[in-house]
Amino acid sequence: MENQTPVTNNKQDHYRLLIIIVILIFAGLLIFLILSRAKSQKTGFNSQETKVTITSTPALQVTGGVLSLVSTKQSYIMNENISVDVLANSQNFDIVGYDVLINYDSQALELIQAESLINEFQIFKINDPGKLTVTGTKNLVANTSNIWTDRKIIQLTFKPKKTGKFYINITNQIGKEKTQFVDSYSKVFIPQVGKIPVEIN
Amino acid sequence: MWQFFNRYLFPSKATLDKVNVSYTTSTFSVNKNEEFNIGVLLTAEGGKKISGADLIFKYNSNNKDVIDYQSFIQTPMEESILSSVSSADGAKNLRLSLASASPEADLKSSVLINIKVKAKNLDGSTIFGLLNTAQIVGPVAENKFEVVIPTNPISITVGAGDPSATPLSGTPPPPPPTLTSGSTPPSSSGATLNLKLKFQGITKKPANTTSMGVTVKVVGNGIEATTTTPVAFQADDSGIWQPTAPIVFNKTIPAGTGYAVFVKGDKNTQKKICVSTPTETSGGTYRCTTGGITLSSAVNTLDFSGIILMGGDLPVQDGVVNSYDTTLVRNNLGKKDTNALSIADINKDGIVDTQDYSLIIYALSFRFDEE
Repeated sequence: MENQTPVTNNKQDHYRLLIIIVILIFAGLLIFLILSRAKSQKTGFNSQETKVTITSTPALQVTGGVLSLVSTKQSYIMNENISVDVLANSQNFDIVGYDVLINYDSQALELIQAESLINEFQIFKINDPGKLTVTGTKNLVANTSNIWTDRKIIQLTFKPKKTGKFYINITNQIGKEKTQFVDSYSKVFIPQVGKIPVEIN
Repeated sequence: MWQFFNRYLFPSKATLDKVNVSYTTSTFSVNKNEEFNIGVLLTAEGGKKISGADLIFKYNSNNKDVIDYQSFIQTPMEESILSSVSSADGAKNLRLSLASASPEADLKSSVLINIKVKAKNLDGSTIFGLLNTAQIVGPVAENKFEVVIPTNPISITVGAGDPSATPLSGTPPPPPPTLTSGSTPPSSSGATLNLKLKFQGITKKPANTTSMGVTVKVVGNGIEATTTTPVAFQADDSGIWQPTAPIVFNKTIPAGTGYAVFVKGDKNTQKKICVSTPTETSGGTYRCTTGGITLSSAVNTLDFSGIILMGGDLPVQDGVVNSYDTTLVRNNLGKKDTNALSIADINKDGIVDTQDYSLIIYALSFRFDEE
């Protein structure tokens, strides 16, 4: 009997340790899930694309599609043109028109050019200092459908004006204007939008 | 279980979507025995499709027999049940039930309903308005819309004839009663406006339409008076548009100087005008900042036909010409039906075609309502 007590205590210690380990693992998993969920909500989706940060403007409800910005470089030198593409995902909708609102620091960047990367689309732009509006409309003679999956639709070229780190943003709404897709049934979709950092050395 | 929760406990956002109801003409001044069309436009927000509607219109209040229902004119809906019943307060109720069995892809987000009525052989006035019992649904079973009804019903005056002419009866008809309260009746001592307007792409009297709804706003001397619903304008042979009845504002406009007038057609951007007879060298280029119009307490005829009001902001209007508007024209190219014409026939020539597309592409460079 005397020898059984230490063995029982030892077993109880093992059980306690096991329970504590299980609780710790459970707590760890819970914290990991909460942090992952918070990060997912903040970024809008779990993108592996490190160059693009997706943000959603709460003023307009996102109803479909994604418009983001991509570039082959993040760092530029003065006198080197900055090329940024607008990347579109239309979520299975056949797009016939779109509006993209782009904000940039006009003290740091000067827009040189905006051109359509899809031949079937004609673009019309209004460039005020720091704010570019691009309206794309499908040519009347074009008959093919335009369902976009990570399709580059516009190429923007900027000229650096000063050094530093700056952002080029697609924004959901400025005044009465909206960033939007319009499909072949004239249905309007408000996409998630993104921004891209640009470093000028 | 999941479907039950989604459908009944957490209904989809579609249940919150709105359908805006507007009248293509807000004021009629007609002769005795004259037939005319009342246009009712249902427009779902966000491009949602409309598949059915149950609408009750009220008219001839207080047993006044001013107009008669004649017929119901073509709409995109395939089935309709129409009934005319008398209501308890002596008015007449016209019930219109519409339904479409078309697949969702063929449904429209805008539906124009034309109701033909005929003036009776007596002087008088009435209102014609949609009751708030209206129900409009989309193609999905639970897709019931919130219906936004115009604040003011249509005002119909029989026997007035030409607004500039002497009334046919010895005394002017009394102002029509209203279905809703809240609007301020105009004062007889305020300024009255008669406008002459010219719209982009319309160079003669349009073949397919007799009137256009125009919103007018007068700003100056610390007041901002606006028309609560679009005012009906009619074109002459040279394509100059004038109101079919005196323009009624929500406030009295006192006589004075320094006024600016804002006008916006049913497929146009808003234009700010600061002088009584503006001109421009190239279409759409007139701009002004400070109001300089002098208004007297009598009828003020302002001839704005020296400038062109740019098209482009198509129904449902949002104050900007953008891809939604260009797409409306593109998606309706070649169409001649009432619905397509009501939303995309900018030059009102009876077909949505490349001319309308050219006009809207040109309007992209003007883009915004002037404020």
